[in-house]
Amino acid sequence: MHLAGFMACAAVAFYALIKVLQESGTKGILFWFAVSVVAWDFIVWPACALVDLLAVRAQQRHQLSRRAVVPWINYVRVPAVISGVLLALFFPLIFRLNNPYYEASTGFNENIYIVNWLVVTGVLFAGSALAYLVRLGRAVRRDRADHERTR
Amino acid sequence: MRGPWLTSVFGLILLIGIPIEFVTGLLSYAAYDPKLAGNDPNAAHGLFGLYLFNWITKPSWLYRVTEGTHVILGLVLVPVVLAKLWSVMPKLFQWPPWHSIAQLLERISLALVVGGIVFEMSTGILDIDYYGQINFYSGHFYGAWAFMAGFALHVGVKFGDMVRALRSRSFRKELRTGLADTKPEPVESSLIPQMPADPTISRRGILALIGGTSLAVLLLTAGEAIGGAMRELAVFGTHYRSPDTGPNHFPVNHTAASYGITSTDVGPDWRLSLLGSHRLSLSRRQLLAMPQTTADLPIACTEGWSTQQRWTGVPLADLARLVGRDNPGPSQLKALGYGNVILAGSQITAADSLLALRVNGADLSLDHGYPARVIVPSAPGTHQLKWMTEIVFTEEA
Repeated sequence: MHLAGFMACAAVAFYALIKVLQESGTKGILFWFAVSVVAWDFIVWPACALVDLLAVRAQQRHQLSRRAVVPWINYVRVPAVISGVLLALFFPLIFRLNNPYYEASTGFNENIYIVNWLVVTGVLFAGSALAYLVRLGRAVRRDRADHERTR
Repeated sequence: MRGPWLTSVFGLILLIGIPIEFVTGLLSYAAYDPKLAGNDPNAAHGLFGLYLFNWITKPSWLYRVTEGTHVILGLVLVPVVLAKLWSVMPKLFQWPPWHSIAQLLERISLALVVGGIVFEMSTGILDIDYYGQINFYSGHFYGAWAFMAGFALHVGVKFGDMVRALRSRSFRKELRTGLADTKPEPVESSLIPQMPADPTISRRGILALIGGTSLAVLLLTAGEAIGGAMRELAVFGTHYRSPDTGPNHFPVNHTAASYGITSTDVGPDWRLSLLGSHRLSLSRRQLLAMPQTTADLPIACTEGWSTQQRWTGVPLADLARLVGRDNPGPSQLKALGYGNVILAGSQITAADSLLALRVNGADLSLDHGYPARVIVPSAPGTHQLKWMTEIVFTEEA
């Protein structure tokens, strides 16, 4: 059963792979695949992990040095992840990589997309900062109230 | 927090989403009517064309909905795919890669699944961003079959694990669990880090992060397919802005200027030729003098964006009758600029299939296809040629 399923799927996949390589240019696809794997596994992923690790460390130092603190790491992570995914999805528009074609198609140019991305990113970080300040304010008040009670 | 439960939640979402992507994708290919010679972007489809059928014209919004779903859902699933890959990251670097033949086979299927999803998403995304690097039609189409083969196998192998993992923890309880109570899953699994650092985010936090990212992508793209006020919000779509004001204020795909079409090409000397049992040449004034039909129909692009407008013009079936084709078969459209498309007989005779001369009560603008464009219910936008010059009608065999 297992083996039969595998053979069937493998046959379909093999047939499709031959087709895809024949039709879209073998070199292009293999090059594309190799670039994606290297870029993703060895550059983008470790870089993101490293930035995250540094941020977590910074926050831990912060937490040790002060009294009333609300961890801020996730208030940075949320806007950063959303903004990063938008960049990954729309970087050709944001960096104007094919403006002549875009102009021919739509009658506009691509200049606006970097503005849109920066505005959306700004709004996300501002909203996140606001949410953090609200929580921090509540924590500080609670902390003060606790202090007064114990005195 | 990594562990089988979290991986399975993402897996379940993809188990629902990916088949929808596959089916809407196959429908999009069928919508091109590839059986009619000349329409097929993947002429060498071989066995993968076995399912094809003649594309339908009712309901008129069908292609708009299937293709809008395909593109927007595809974008919305990207954060989930990234999260799923993140959650199984330790396993992708497992060494040695296999212990047995069965495991080797499983890992080959994994290569198809991971490579396939990355390939499908990148070809799709780069295509809608106008940055295609390879032949999109064939790459995305055959790539989908390769990916789905791996996907089917992967689901077959892992479905039981997913169900077991989902049952191991209560979803509702997880939503009530904050950071302080977040502990590693108490099960044996290679998905769980062996020496986890103290958590800095709860499981519900991860779900909110990924869900929130998907929601943000949805809000910032869906307007391209929904239209109305939502379009203004789709600030990362290629067609969220429209030139012109008034009745012709809706997105343009391919401007007249980009094809070098000027007002002299479509001036008083412009004629539409009809070829059937005999040839007939009609001026725009003669076309306007014929009985006119008005219909609300969408232009729906393969890239996912769409817009519905009110078109007025001459039914294609009436034009066919003028040249002695009472029962038209596949018919060829020719136009200035791009295009050479075959419409099926059923598309010519559909009630609202028009040679549109006016839109929203005004003459078409040059960018929208003046003097005349074709509009067919539920057909992909690329089959609705602008700046028409000729229609060759055949008789149904």
